[in-house]
This record gives sequence, C-alpha cells and structure tokens, in this order.
Amino acid sequence: MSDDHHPADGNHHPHVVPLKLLFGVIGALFFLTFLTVAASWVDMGGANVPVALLIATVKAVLVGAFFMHLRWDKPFNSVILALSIGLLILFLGIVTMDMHENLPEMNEAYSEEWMETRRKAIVEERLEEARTAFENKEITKAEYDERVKELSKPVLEVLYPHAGAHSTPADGHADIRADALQKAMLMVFRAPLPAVIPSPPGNPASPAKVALGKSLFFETRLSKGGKISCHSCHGLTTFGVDNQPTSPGHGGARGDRNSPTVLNAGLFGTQFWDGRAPSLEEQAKAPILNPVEMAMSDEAAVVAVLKGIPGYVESFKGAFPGEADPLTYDNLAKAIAAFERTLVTPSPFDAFLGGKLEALDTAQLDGFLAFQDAGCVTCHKGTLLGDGFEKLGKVIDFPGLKDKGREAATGNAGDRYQFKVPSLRNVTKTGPYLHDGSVKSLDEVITLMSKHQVGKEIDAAEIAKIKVFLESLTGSLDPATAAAPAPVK
Amino acid sequence: MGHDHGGDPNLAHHFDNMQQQFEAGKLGMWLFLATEVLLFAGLFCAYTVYRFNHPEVFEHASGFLNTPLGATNTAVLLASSLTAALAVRSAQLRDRAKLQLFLVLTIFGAFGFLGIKFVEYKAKFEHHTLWGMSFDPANAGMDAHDKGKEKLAKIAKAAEPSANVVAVLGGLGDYQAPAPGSDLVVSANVEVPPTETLASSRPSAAKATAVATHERKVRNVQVFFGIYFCMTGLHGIHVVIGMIVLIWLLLRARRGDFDNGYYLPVDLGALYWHLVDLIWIFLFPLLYLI
Repeated sequence: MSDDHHPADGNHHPHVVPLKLLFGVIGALFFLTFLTVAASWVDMGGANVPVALLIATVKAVLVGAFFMHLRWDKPFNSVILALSIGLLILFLGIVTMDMHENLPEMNEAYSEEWMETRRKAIVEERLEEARTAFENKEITKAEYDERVKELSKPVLEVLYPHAGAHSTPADGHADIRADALQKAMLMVFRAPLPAVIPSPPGNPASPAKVALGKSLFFETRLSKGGKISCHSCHGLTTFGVDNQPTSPGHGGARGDRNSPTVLNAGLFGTQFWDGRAPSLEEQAKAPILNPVEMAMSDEAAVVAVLKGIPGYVESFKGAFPGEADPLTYDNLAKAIAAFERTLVTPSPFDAFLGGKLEALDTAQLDGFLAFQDAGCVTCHKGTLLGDGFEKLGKVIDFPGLKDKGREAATGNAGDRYQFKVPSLRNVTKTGPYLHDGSVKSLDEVITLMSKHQVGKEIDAAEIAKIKVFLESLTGSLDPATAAAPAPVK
Repeated sequence: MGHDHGGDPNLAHHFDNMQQQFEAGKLGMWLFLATEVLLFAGLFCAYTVYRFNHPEVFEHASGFLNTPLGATNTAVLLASSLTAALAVRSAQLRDRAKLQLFLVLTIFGAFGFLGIKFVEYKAKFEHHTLWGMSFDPANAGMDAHDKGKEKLAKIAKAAEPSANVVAVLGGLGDYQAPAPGSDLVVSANVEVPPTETLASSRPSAAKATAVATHERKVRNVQVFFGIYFCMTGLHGIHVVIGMIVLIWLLLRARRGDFDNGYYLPVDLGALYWHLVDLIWIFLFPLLYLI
C-alpha cells in the first residue's frame, strides 16, 4: 500500500491520465481499425484470421491499459482480467482439440468440394472481369467469347476430372460440354460398336459362312412345323425382336421368357437371360431343338433336313472348306453365329463416342447426365450398356417373381433371381421389357428399375430426360444385311 | 448516522477510508467484468466450433455483412471509449461542465452505434438473411403469395445469358455464371444476393459479386446468421445497459455529485463501457472481415 499513487494517508489520490496519451491511444486505435479492414482485402491464405486477431488483441491491450487504467491500477485487477481471458482461451482450446487433429482425414471429401467451390468462384470472378471489360468496350465480342470459352475449361475439369486436363470444345458445337462428356462417356462405355463383332478363334468369319448363316437364320425348314425360323422371333426389321411378351413357337406354344434382341448380341459375355450359353454358337443350337420353339426332335433330324437340300450341301462346303463332312449341327451353329456377328446397329451415340461430337445434341447430353445421376450406369455400362448379371430386385424385392433366373442355369442358390443385364441399345424399340416381357412401356420399366435396382423414386421429368438419351442408342442395321435372302433350293 | 472515518459523505461505513473504498470498488467491478468476458466466452466457443466445421459458410455468409457500417461502428465505439476516459479525467479534475459534455458525447456514441446497428439489422430482416428457418433470402421482397420462383424466373429471363455461357452451365446443376448485360445472377433455388453487400463490402465489385454468387453449394448459411445475431444481440444489450448507466451518471453529474473529486461511479461506469468496446473490437473482425 505504499506505491506513489496510493499513499497511505487514507485519501484517494487519483491518477490523471495525460490528455496527450489518451489522444495518442485513440489515434493508434483508429489506425489499427483501418489496418485490420485493409488486411482483410489482402488474401493471405490461412494468415488472415491470425492477423485480424493479433490486431484486435493489440487494440484490446491499448484500451485495457490506458482507457481502462490497468496500466496504473493495482496489478490484481489485471490478473482478474487475464484470468477470464485465460479461461476463454482454455475453453477454445478444449472445443477445438479434436478438430486440429482430424481435419485433414475427416474432411477429405469436404476439401474436394471446397476446392471445387473455390475454383468455381475464381472462374466466376474472371467471367465477371471479362464481362466488365466487354461492357467498357475494352475487348471485342469475339475476345469476350474466347475468354468465356477458355474459362469453361477449368469448370469442366472440376466436374469431369477424369475427362482429361486439356479438353477443347469442338468447333461449332453448340454445347461445349460435349468434348468433356465424350471423354467421360468413354470411361463408362469404353468403346463405340465395332463394324463387325470380332470372331472367336474357333470360328473365323468368311463371306461364304456369313451368307450361309443368313440363309439358315431365315430358314423355316429348321423347325418341326416348317413355319418358324430364327427370324420369326428375332425380326431384323424390328430391331431383332418380335415385340411380344413371349414368342409363339411350334403350334403356338409360348415359353416363359421374352425374346431378347439378336442385334449386337455377339458382344455379350454369355447368351440367354440366364447366361446358360457361353457363346452365340452354343446359343444357336438350342431354340431349334426346344419343344416350345422350333421343336426339332434332335440334331440328326436337323442335319438330315439340310442334307436333303442341295443348295445347303454346297453352301456348307464353301463355308467350311477342307472339312470332310462340313454339314454338321455344330457347323450350322457356327454359320448362324458368324452371321449374327454382322448384326450391329451403330447409333448417334456411337458416332459421339467415336469423336463426332455433334452427333448428340444438348438435350441428349442432359439425358446422359440424368441417366448417370439416376444410377443407371452402375449396371448399364460398356459398349452394350448392359451385360453381366444382376439380381432383379437388387435393392427392393421385385414383386411376383416366379422365374428363378440364373439359378436355373447354374444350380447355385446364390444366383436366384439373377438375370443378364440387357443391352440398352435400341431399347426404345425392343419392348415389352424384362425377362418375361411383363412391362409394356419404357416409362414403366425405368420407374421399376429405379425403384427395385437403385432404390430411388424417379420423377417424370427425369424419366423424360433419360428417354431422350436412350433414343440416341437406337441404331440402324445395314439394309442389305437385314434383307431376306433368296430361298435355298 | 454519523461516519466514524472523517467527513467524506461518499465513504460507506464499512470501509476504513476512501482509498480502501476505491480499490474495493474497482476490484468488484473487475470481477464483474471477468464474468462478462466468460459470458461472451460461450458464444466465442460456439463461433469457433461452427467455423471449424463450416468454414465455407462463414466465408460466404460474412460477405452479406456490411463492412463499412461495421467499421464505422467500430470507430464510433472507440471514440466513445475515448470520451468515457475523458469523462473520468474531467471528474478527477472536478470539472463538472466537461464531465457532463463528455458523458453526453459518450451517450451520443452509444446512440450512434445502436442507430447504425439498427440499419444493419433492418437490412438483414428485409433480405431474410436471418437465423434458422427464418433464413430465406430467395423470398426477400416477395409479397405474401409464394411468387418467389416466378419472379426469379423473370429475372433470369431478362438476364438472357449468352449462348456460350448457357451451354457451359446448362448441365452444371445450380451453378451459374454472370452473363453480359445481367446485373443479377439467378438460378432456381438460390438467393439473390442483397445489393447491400455487392457494392460496398469489398474493394473490388467483381470480387464481391464472386463472393456473393459463387456459393450455390454452400449450405446452412443460417448457422452464421444465428451466431451473428446472438453475438451482436448480446453485445447490443450491453450497449443499452451501458447507455442507461451513462445517463444515470450524467444525471448525478448534473446534480453535482462528483464535484468534490469523488469519481468512483464514473470510473466504474466507464470501465463497463470500455468492456463493451473491447468485445466489439473482437466481434468486428471475426464477423465482418473473414
């Protein structure tokens, strides 16, 4: 109690702060206020907040020491203030303890998003600059357009990072997403349709073999009643199907599955809805002998019929040169398979994938994005937009499912209700849909797929967009290939 | 009841002398101010947690605050802190006229601060940039009917972005870029940024526009406004209380209570006022200058 300002006489002798000091302090405070605002104009990365807090702390010390008189008070008052601030810092330390540690891992995905947001902000800022320059007539319209075009690239890179760093919009394409989307689609769909599906090692194609296969494909004499050919159910002018839920076979009998299209089918890894045939060759042998299809009694009967037709004896010789007995059931299947490998339907989608960007318009590109967003690409991928097996009712059980699917082919209970993922090529033309042809309309089947396979309710607007994309998958068969051959005599 | 400790009528009977009373008063005030710091500490913690978790929300949303008004208010509070200190000084020097003058100036400062704060709050209410469910800037300025989307569609149509830009942005979700001839950038589910922000809060209008328009993906912006209103609201209440204290001091000064060199109440009132200033010194950069 014996410092200069508080003598022990019991009277209080105030310490009067000099005016100069008070005005000096306020001057410093105003300057620091300006400084902190100015500092916020400069992007110092992570340093902005510490700098602002440092300036605020200096200001607080000035106010505390001089305005609040702590400089001349008994130190205990400062201790109390320091204690409260120390507690505040302690609280902050406790609440932020785990954050420092976990931030990088915890927010990895978040950081990506943040980066994206930042980059978009930068692009927008530059767009704004370009716009201002254009409005102030500093740059021409052409220069402005050029800048906008340039700026669109980083945006696309953000959205489609896998599409490559140096995508350039196609000249003259109205939609400058096209190039990036084409690259993105290649990732999902791999390649456009080939002109002809490659032949397997055991069955090289030749014109003679393909011609023979075509004749056999249209040959009604391969059926018991002499009325049904492959072409009866797999019409080449009707996108390889008959547009019936199930197809009428011998005597009008119907099987329990929908005829899948024969077009582009050679690209599938397996054949039939349940994948029980590993190749087109194996597949072709089955319907001829199936009692509810062409219903021939056995292979020998089929071979006997063909041997009775001189034209075929000749054709088989030409198609399988050097074989002692070319007219066999196996060779019949090989010839049909060789012909089927020519049944490809290139579409605008393929032209686009191949680099002809104007083949798809903006609505179709939007459709692809909708298709992707709806989750369709999870299964409908690859050149065929299909193949492989999936359980029907993958997410939500499919009601009333009687057909056990692939389990019938493998005997494996794990394959129950698994069906081949059908190709979406020409899908708008190949209804009705599903393995049993039970779904008439495309809208309906998209809704069902979304619900049962993806687990999402899809709205009409999205369906409409997806259908626009699906239309682009409709291709055309070479008319000469589709035309019926002259009957073999 | 007579005092045992000499003639000063301001000496409470439980103190030995004026010096002891003065120091006890100051100590009590500082203890109270410490609790004030701790009261705000809770809010600073909330601020820190939310900011750590949602840095993008804070960066985006602070663009909606009016920095020039915030900076002006900082200056007003600092100046009123000076006048409060000058008031204490005048009381120490037994200058009643100057004491009254500086108290009046300090009160003016308080009114000025609240006035500017009112302007800011009013804009927030008009733009629906508020807390929680009240955050609905897209609906700002709309009438009772839900015409928000209609109006936005109209603005978007009027903006007529160039074909290029539309093409880039057609498939980019709700991300939009400004186009020549359009002052407003609009997409269906996005607020129109309050013009209050656009021109004023950043040195470069372009940057401001970028800040105001880039966000689209920034969600939960209302969290920032919840914290903003809590912190500035509690601070505002302190300003009002401080003002009442200052008016009380002014009335006592007019009555001549402090003419004989007894200035403890003025000193303690000023301390309270300085604390209000002190807290604002931190609130301003943390809320406005992110």
